[in-house]
Amino acid sequence: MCALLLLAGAGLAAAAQPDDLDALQLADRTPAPTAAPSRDWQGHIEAAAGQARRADWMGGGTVGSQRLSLALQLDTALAPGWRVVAANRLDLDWPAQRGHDRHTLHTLQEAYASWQPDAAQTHDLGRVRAVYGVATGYNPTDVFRAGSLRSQVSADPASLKHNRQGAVMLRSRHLSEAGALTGVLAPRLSADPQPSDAAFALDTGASNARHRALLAWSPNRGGAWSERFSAQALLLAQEGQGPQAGLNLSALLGDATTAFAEWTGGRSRSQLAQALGATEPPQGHPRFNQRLSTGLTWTAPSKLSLTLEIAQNSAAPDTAAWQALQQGDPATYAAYRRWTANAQELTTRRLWAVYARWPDALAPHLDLNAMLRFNPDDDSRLGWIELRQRGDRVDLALQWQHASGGPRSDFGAAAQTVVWQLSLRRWL
Amino acid sequence: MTSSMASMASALSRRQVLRGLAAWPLLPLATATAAASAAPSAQALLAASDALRNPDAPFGLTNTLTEYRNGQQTDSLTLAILAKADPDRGPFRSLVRFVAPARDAGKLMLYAGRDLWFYDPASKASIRLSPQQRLLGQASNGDVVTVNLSREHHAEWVTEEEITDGERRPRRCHRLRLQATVAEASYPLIELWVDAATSQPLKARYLAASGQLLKTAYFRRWQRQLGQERPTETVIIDGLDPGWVTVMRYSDWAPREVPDAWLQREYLPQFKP
Repeated sequence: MCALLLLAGAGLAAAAQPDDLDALQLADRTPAPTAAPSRDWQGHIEAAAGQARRADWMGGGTVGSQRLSLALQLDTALAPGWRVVAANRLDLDWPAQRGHDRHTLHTLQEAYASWQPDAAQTHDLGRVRAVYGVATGYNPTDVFRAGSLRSQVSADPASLKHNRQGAVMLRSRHLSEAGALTGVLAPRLSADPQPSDAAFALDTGASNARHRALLAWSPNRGGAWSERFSAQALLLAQEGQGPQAGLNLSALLGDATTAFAEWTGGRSRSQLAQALGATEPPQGHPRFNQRLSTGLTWTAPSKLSLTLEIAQNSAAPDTAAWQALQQGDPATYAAYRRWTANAQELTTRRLWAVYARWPDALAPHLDLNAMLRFNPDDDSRLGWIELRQRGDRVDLALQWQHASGGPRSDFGAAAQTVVWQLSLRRWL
Repeated sequence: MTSSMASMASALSRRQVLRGLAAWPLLPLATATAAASAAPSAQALLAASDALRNPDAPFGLTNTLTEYRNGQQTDSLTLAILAKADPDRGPFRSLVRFVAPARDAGKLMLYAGRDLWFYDPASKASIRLSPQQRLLGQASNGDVVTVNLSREHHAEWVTEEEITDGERRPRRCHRLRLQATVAEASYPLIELWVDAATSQPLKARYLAASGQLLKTAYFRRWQRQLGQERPTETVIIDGLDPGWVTVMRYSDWAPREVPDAWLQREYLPQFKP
């Protein structure tokens, strides 16, 4: 039947329809493309103002905030085969960002020289933002995420990745028909491996708190199978811990759905033991621990993309241990929370999350982004919604964030329970 | 919220494609037989038209996409594209770099058959995309990068007829009906008009398996590029909303050396144009 309809419609199709003629006239008026701008640098400046409701344990009430940020990135070729890559960020915050005393916070996100003797080999030396992982929120294989958060202006995982600082390293990569082999050496650079509060600190105490070495292998198999499935294997050695293995998997399940899984495993002390510096049994006794983050991303015809992510971490406290920690010594609890925040680790063994990205959601150029995280071990939640209007060179964004749960739960312990922020970003 | 029939096409499941294909035997057999005996080789015509759209040697070009809604420009995007034929993974692998707008400059997309990766230099993260996650307006990922229709479709000659081309001139054309032969094809059904004298593809209608029109495309502004007369503009008109128009204009054609190493995900962080 549909074939007959097609045949019937074919006669109409042969002649250009009036609508087609209108469209062609419109296309006639489209100006000729101008020469594509070529620039080695990019950046933006952003002004933000917000208001937050403080948690009861912080005294309650509301507090206002203002921020001015400048972000610049440079990627320029010095000579054939040589390039320099740099990125930095300057934030002026009133009041100062949480965990910092100063209003000025500069982050040298990366600064490295890259030598590419041929298309197959690259060697990088300097501070590099090396990002691993295929999940959206929790990335166990992102081995350089610890100590990378210096400036946090949003709970959005994409913002955290954009604003992070890299680690100082030597990175070599060799590409071949068989795949890509990457080796990284990142040394400990500070006798006192602690994050720095100084406004213009390089903060190597946070980014390079221990010696680390990483090997990553990404096979590049041909054929239709590889178009639907990709894998990456990692092997990490780091000071004070046994070797850790990692795996990144991603797959295309159809026209609209992708699946991902990332896993790490190896002998290590529990997170609590690492946070408290415990080395004696039973807490300090290393055992085999695994971390997993897996899920699906589905995209609707309307461009709405939904990601469901389920994360697990056997090195984190189980429900009983977490309850004991919540009800125990406040200093111990605070030390553990500081450690997990710096390491970007799960607070407890499980985390469920949904992420939404919806370009042109409510009107052209008006995007809706959202996140809901739920900790099933203590029933606490974190919700975040952003409306972003994209202009030619200016973005206007309204963000709302809400944390709920018990006073010392994963998300209920947030210093601010509700946060509003309006920001204006000008692309340079 | 916008409704894109183009994206619906790419959302069609394997079952829908097969259901659509199953409907074709309903065509009057006598008509089909008579046409086939008198017709030139439809598959050869399709291959010839593919060759005109797609240079066979590695090349680069700039694709400027402009979107209109009801006569008003609503969006624009400039992409620098490198493409290279790949006998193993499909006809072409493409590396797409966003040039404009400023917020997207430097982002990369690697398209190797169904293997589609997006890399953002700001986050240093590579993300696998599904075909449904498209770039702009009705332009699907398959429209933006280089695709050989003959590789994914079986062509059937329908008739010879006169049409109005993208320059509003009458042209004598072969009308071909293309049926997807693989579930991964961007479109299950396509009607393609190919110039009877030159094999230039002039117009296409992309249809859902149900026969519903998804979009119409005119290939126009033919110019000599890389040794052949090639279309330097595609005008895409939405099947449901004719006021939704996307113009893709191709410029800066050039032969390019594209090492195989560039066309894998791990190279994306290293890419420097």
